[in-house]
Amino acid sequence: MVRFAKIVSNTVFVLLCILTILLFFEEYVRVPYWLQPIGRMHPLVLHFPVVLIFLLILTTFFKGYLGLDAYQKIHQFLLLFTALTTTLAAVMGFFLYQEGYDSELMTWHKWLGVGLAYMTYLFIFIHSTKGIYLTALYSCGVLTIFVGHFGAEITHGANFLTAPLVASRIPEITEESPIFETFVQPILNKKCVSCHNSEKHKGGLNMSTHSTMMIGGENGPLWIMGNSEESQLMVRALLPMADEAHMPPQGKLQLTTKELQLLERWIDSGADTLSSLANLPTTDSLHTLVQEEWYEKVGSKARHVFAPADKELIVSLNNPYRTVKQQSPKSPALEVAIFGQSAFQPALISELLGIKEQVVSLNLSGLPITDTMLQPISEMVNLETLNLNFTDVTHQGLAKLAACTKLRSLAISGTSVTADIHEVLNTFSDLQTLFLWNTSITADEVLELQSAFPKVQFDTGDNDVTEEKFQLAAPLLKNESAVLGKGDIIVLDHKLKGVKLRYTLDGSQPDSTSQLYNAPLQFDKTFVLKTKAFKTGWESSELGIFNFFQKGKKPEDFELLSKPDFRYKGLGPHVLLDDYISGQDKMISLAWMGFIEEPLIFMSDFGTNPPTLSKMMLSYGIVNWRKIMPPESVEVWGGYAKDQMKLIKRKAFGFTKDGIIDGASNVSVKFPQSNFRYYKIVANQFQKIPSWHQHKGKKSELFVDEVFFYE
Amino acid sequence: MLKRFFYLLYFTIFCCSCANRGGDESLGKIPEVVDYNFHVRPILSDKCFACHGPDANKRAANLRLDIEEGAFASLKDHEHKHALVTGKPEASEVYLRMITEDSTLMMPPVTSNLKLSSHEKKLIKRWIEQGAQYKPHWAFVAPEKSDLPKVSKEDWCLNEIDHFILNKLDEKKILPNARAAKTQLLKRVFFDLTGLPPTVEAQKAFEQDNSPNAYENVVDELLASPHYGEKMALHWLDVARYADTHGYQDDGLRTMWPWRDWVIHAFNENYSFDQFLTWQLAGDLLPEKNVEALLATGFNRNHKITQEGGVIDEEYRIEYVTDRTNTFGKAFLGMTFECAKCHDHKYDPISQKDYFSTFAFFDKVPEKGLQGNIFKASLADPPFLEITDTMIDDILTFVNKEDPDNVSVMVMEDSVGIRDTHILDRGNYDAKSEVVVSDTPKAIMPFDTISLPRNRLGLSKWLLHDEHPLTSRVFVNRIWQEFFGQGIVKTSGDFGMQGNLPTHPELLDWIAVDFRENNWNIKRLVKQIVMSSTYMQSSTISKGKQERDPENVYLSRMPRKRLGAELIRDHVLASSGLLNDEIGGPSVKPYQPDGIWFAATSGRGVLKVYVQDQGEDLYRRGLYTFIKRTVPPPAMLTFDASTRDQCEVRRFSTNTPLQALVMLNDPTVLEASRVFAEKLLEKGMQSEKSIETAFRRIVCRKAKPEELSILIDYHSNQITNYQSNPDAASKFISVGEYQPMKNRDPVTVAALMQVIHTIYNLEEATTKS
Amino acid sequence: MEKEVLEHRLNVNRRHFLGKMALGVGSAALGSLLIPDLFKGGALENDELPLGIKHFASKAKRIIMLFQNGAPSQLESFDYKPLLNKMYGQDLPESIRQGQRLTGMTAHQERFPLVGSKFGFQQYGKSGTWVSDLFPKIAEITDDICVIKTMHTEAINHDPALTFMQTGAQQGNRPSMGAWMSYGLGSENKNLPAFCVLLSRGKGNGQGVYSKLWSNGFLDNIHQGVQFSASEDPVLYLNNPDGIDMKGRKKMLDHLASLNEINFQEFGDPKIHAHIQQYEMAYRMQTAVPELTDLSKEPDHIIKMYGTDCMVPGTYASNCLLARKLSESGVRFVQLYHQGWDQHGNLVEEMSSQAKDVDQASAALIKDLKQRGLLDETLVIWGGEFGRTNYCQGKLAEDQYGRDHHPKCYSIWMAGGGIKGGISYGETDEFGYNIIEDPVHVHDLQATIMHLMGLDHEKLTYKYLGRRFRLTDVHGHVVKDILA
Repeated sequence: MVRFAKIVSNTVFVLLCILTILLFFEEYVRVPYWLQPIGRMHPLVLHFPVVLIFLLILTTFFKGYLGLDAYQKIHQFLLLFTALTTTLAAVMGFFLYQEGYDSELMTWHKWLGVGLAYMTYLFIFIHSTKGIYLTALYSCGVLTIFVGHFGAEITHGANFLTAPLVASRIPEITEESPIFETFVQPILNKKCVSCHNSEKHKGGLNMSTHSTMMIGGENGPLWIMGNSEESQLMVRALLPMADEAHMPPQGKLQLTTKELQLLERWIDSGADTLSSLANLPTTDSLHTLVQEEWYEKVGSKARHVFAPADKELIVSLNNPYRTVKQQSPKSPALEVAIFGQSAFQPALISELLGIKEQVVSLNLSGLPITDTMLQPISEMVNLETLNLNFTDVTHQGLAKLAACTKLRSLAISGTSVTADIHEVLNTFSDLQTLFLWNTSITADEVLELQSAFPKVQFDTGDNDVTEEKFQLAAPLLKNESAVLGKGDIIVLDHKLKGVKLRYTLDGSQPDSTSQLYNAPLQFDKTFVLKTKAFKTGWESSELGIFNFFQKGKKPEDFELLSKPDFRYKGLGPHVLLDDYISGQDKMISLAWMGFIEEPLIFMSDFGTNPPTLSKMMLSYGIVNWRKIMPPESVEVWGGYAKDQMKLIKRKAFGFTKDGIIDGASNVSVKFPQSNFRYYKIVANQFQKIPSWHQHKGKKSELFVDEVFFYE
Repeated sequence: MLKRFFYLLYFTIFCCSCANRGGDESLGKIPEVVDYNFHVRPILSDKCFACHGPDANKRAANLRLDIEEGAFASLKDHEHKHALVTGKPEASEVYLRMITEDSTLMMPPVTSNLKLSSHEKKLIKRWIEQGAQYKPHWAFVAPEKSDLPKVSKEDWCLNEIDHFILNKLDEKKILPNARAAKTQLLKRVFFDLTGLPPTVEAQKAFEQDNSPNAYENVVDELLASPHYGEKMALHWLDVARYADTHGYQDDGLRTMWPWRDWVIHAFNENYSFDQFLTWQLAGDLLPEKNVEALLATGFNRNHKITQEGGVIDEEYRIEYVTDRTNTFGKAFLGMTFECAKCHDHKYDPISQKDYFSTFAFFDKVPEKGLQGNIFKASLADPPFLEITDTMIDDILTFVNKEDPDNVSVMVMEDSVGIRDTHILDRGNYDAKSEVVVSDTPKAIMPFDTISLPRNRLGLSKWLLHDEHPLTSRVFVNRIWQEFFGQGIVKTSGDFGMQGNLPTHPELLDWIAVDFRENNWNIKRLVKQIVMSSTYMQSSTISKGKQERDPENVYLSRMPRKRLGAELIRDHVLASSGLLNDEIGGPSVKPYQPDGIWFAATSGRGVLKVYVQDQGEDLYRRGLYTFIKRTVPPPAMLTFDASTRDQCEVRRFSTNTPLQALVMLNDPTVLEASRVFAEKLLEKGMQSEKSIETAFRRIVCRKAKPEELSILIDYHSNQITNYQSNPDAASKFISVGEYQPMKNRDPVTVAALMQVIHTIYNLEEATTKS
Repeated sequence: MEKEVLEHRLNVNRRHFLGKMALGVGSAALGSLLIPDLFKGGALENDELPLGIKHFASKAKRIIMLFQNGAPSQLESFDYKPLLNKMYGQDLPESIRQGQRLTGMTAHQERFPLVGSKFGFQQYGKSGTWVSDLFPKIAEITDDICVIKTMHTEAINHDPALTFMQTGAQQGNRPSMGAWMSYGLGSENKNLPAFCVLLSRGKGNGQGVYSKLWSNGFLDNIHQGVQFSASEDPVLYLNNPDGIDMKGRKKMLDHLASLNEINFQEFGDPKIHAHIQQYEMAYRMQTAVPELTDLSKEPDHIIKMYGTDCMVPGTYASNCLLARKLSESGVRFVQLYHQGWDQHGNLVEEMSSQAKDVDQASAALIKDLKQRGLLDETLVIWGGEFGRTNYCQGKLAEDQYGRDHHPKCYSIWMAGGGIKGGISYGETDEFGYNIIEDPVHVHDLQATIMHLMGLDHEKLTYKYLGRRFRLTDVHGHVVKDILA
């Protein structure tokens, strides 16, 4: 016995040395083919240590029963075999591992396994030292479990154990579900993935996902779309069982003829991972095959099993305000949408009774629909989606829909429904989502509902913004032109309803106490209107400044003596006298003329009996970043003939930094009363823009949109 | 066992769809004799050639079905099996694979998304039974005059055209329509030849003239009118993708309008088509230099040019040459050349090499892909011709230039040896491979290198060669299309295998040859067409004809056709008396909704805002409307005008609500109605009379009593309506910049204007019936 | 009252057409509204799927495309690359650039100094999607959106790239995506165009748009994108002229109809009835559109949600709000273009202002659709035509830089109908220059969009000049991993 013990322990020792060396020079190791069989016996041998280790543990419990002597004999004997088989298994395992397993899981298995081997060898010597030994032995038992589990996962694929539990959750299969996912992949998972997965990729092939399948293995991609004949997958599967390359390998679970057919036809039909029964022609052999062999058995029936509606009827139900459409060429289900509030008539709904069975989706949002009009809908027993947003329905109306038990989604945002909806909801057993945004239902009430109907998802929308304060947009001026005659009216407006507009006419800043705008203002003479918009819950708007100009005296004839920039001719000289002044936003609009090279020189002819004039005004624009600035100076020339004009007034305008605000502005020049026939206006740009300006030193540009003459 | 079948997988397949509609085929009758060109090739080409056609790279199973040798040869992997076996469908794999039920064997494969109708299967079957005879593609065989076919009513035929048409009608047992009413005919021929409506005077004159050659006189008159050139130019501007901007994102201004003036001139002077073609293609290469011919070469510079900063020069230069090549293919050969740029053509015998050999003709221009950018915008990239006043005085008299400054027009120029032309892999500018010399696709007609120089001049000579199968056919067919709304070959841009077949092949060939033999005389051709009784038929559609020949393939009636975008404008302006019929000159900017240029602009360049023109320029003919490629005139676009983005040989004629909106709310139409109303009132006519005249000028016929009564009733109704609401009236009549009539009474003007506006919106008003 | 009268008239007409159907007369016209292409002879071939109906059932019914024109930088938005900040100013390794072609703007540059985002990045939502600080509001909806970081395209200049994104081809006049949708699925609300286009412009460096981008190409004109403008006339020529109200217009149409009817008696041409039909539809459009463009009925908190700008016509915010209303009323494809994303220089400043204009309204649109139960059936797409370089264009200043065009990778996001929310798809290398995982080509995106709309991008073809054209040319694979 002692001698025997020696031999065994020495063998173990030798094996351990080999193992150590192998592990040490791992990357240089090349396992000769004749050793591979040995490696492949690992799965066989490994069961010995597993059993033996547990036997060892077991014996420790029956120590008393066996009696010390017997116990020690048996125990030691077992111990020797444990050590031997464990080490053996470890070495074999190493060989097998060289056949191309590589993954985190593998590393764990490897090292724990090796550890186990060393431990068992250690036991031979320490088994007499009580305390330490027993703890070591038990922990060794635990270790075994892990090593075993990892091993199993490598051979049978990850989550091998839990798989059955997960599998129990079968997804709903409709005719829309992709054939690949629902029928093809399961076969591959069942028959191939155990050897070709992310942990263990024999032949460098990993079949766990579609993308990895497409990458393929050492022998190229798994299949060639539309060509099963040259596809590895089929070639291998169709080889005679005897053939080395046949897959799945002998002994493993083989593919059935039906499965082969499915794979074959699926590949031939283009290996499209998205194609489903729904989009395959019924004549297609893949369709027939799946239909007969798989779909009926595996899949639950198509979601919509009712008879299709008459095609003619569908066409006739389509009209400018109502769209009726098939969900898909194969499906009898119909989607209906009705539009046009002003043109709505109840008949648009009631006419649907002809297809009441087929309507699964109905969109009535925004229509003036009252409870009574819901009557016909109550007969649409297959209705799944109903959109009643911003209609006039109440929960009483919804109560009518008790028959629509298939309703999944109901949208009643912006309606006057109240928490009383509670009573109605339990009639809709399938309801999944309910859209309650913009209704009077409070957050607490929603909570109650939620607890009462846990299956339903209540969407109350996004209301958190309402707390923040936002600034209102500035008031809008309705008048097209800012040039007005006596008695013309000025109209202000604001897009947001419930806004109060306040204004001043004396140039002071309007505030919440200023004059309230409640009727159009009467114009008498040139002034500036400053206005702001106010509303509770909002910041008051930016200041709106509007200049109004009195219509001036019109010359009988006029001409432009200088050239505007060729890009900014506007509509031609007449825009300077068209009584039209538009805001700065339209600066590039056709109402403006831009002078860049030449100054503005404008000759006006007041005819044979000219009016007495004493003032002219020039309306111009300012756009700082574009060098569009006020005139540096304006000259007024007068005369009775074009060729003998004399300067009657020249006015230069200095401008300060804060005087230059983007927008339309104006300058006026008073001159001694006169009644010349001709007046020539010259407006010059700054030759050098003042130093405080971003464009300092450059020449400024002058944009003009109106010239006025006053008495 | 399945494996055995898989070998078949690598063979060819057949399946198809009925390419030519109307006629027997559509009625599902299999013709006695199945013809390869007319029945079978359309099927093979459409459904099989993609994988078993000319493109060597894509050819599956090494099987080629577009040529006889390929189809009858034994199959690659199965030497005893053949795709086609004369007389034996059941032995022809083609047919077997066509009728199989199994999607894995079926051809074309399910994956191709192509299917085969039972009618087509039958056709193939019978064709094989009858010997599976191949014939060369009709369009590549030079046309020949056949003798005039026998017809039932000789007296119906006014010229050769009618013989062919009537002969076909006899075959189909359809009677031609009666001669159109005089008024109808007059409106038709006026719009077809000048694009303008007949004046009431012209209507009356024609009404009264009962002399036998009354109609011919009118035709001659119109052919002599300067507006004839404008009308003919319209179509050619589409072909030549003429526009007033460079296209692409920044889309700056260009001055090609003098070239446009030349086109009008050329048609008015009735330049023969060979000169018209040669000057545009090679005016710069003529032995004796000729400024006018040089200007004509602008044709090849009308393509888009980029101004986007930072583009790669060569990438875009290649783009331009590509455009010229494709335009050449489509405009003169009626071939879809573009398909052969990245790979051999899938259907037609044009290899990628052929493509780039043709490309080479246009590749010698000393030009750059990017000339400056939008900021330093150039109106004409070199090479260009600078037109001076002196030139205009002695040669280019037709160029309508008022601005004293010279105007530059882009023209063609070859600098010999400037660069080699390479085949570009997948058409990528930077994937240069084999060098090629200028040449043309052999399949169409070999390029005789001995007698022809290898340049654009040689190319135009090649096109005009007596034996050339396409040039004449293609042009004649398009002229035909402009008059009958549909070409004899419906796909006027594709005479290849995939194109429609001629509905009257003999006719097409006859006119094509006749046109060439008569020195390519365009006016003669046009006259020939309008003088045929086919053209003079009425356009009423009887129930029977609607069913027998819904698409009017056999021309047993004249088609009713909505006027083209430009003509609608012309009609509105002309009939209301607003039209300014000045010819040529820089394009003009009439009314256009505010802000649509600015909304799209990058904010760069002189064209970022639309600066509308003034006065007379608001009332020029449609073809002078400024075309900004990135934002074409919206109203025109709505009426199917071409975007001038690339060569177009055929316009749609669609019918959309937006068109209604334009007719209802476009100030152009409203202003015309107003001015028309005012002019009538100025004449002091009483309302009934003026409504009658308006109707006659707009619809070009006398109003029927019931029509008149409706309008009169509507008018009085409007009077009362506006009386109760006078300022609505004055608002309504405030439209347009045209001088309002002195001291007008808003109510009467508004009411009449309303009625006239209604007449303008009649379907018939804008329809050539 | 007025309405009823009109309705009566319309109905009379309609009955009249249905009566004529026997002759196959009205049917063509009526059909043309349901299936636009019935109207054009050649279109429906026996080997094509029925038009106006999905190829297979799918969630999304409508699309809203928020196109960020000019190419927003992925490196300042969704593709977080801290390495670039570490390597600030160092040259881009040639090993990474691999001779990628350069635009004329940087071709002359002798150095390619890397530059990282000046803006911080944080992870948001369950998904932990990275979003830059420029987009706080979009960050709030990360659980609803799917960020694709690995878009790539072929062109390196705006015009071709933009055209490629919209039409599937860099050159030529092909139908735009929206036109294809209109052709394939028809319009849901026949009183509105199936394909609408809204334009806005930010303060950043702009790149223009052009009607080719919403062209119907070779498809029937009815599929052309209809541009909505900020002006008084939301649709070109929609408004009646001054002095004509709807009542007066209706009267005119009635007279027109009876006159045209007389003419039909003579010629028997179906086109005449189609003409009457189109006039009626135009009239209905005149009533339908104002109902939409009137934003005054929107509740306050909606306006706050989109930002007060949404009350100013022509702004991105108001276009988003309008887009929702159009989509809600059954417009198949709403296409927004927002200019100003071309940051070759001055990126920090310009991008901040661009983001400010876009962030809130984009997010608001998603939330708004969601709370109406519309997000499930509406597909929203946000993104530009290509990306921007990880190196600086021009001089690299302390806190100012610019980025050139970069076609090899860029980021977009999608949300709604059939999209898996709360994921980011694909990976670029740590330089943000090349794609290392799950590339998505423009054609793939197009294929996916069509799939989500229930269309098979290989089956929706149109035969023109002898060739069957597809939006995806001969390419494109549906990106399955982002489908819900």
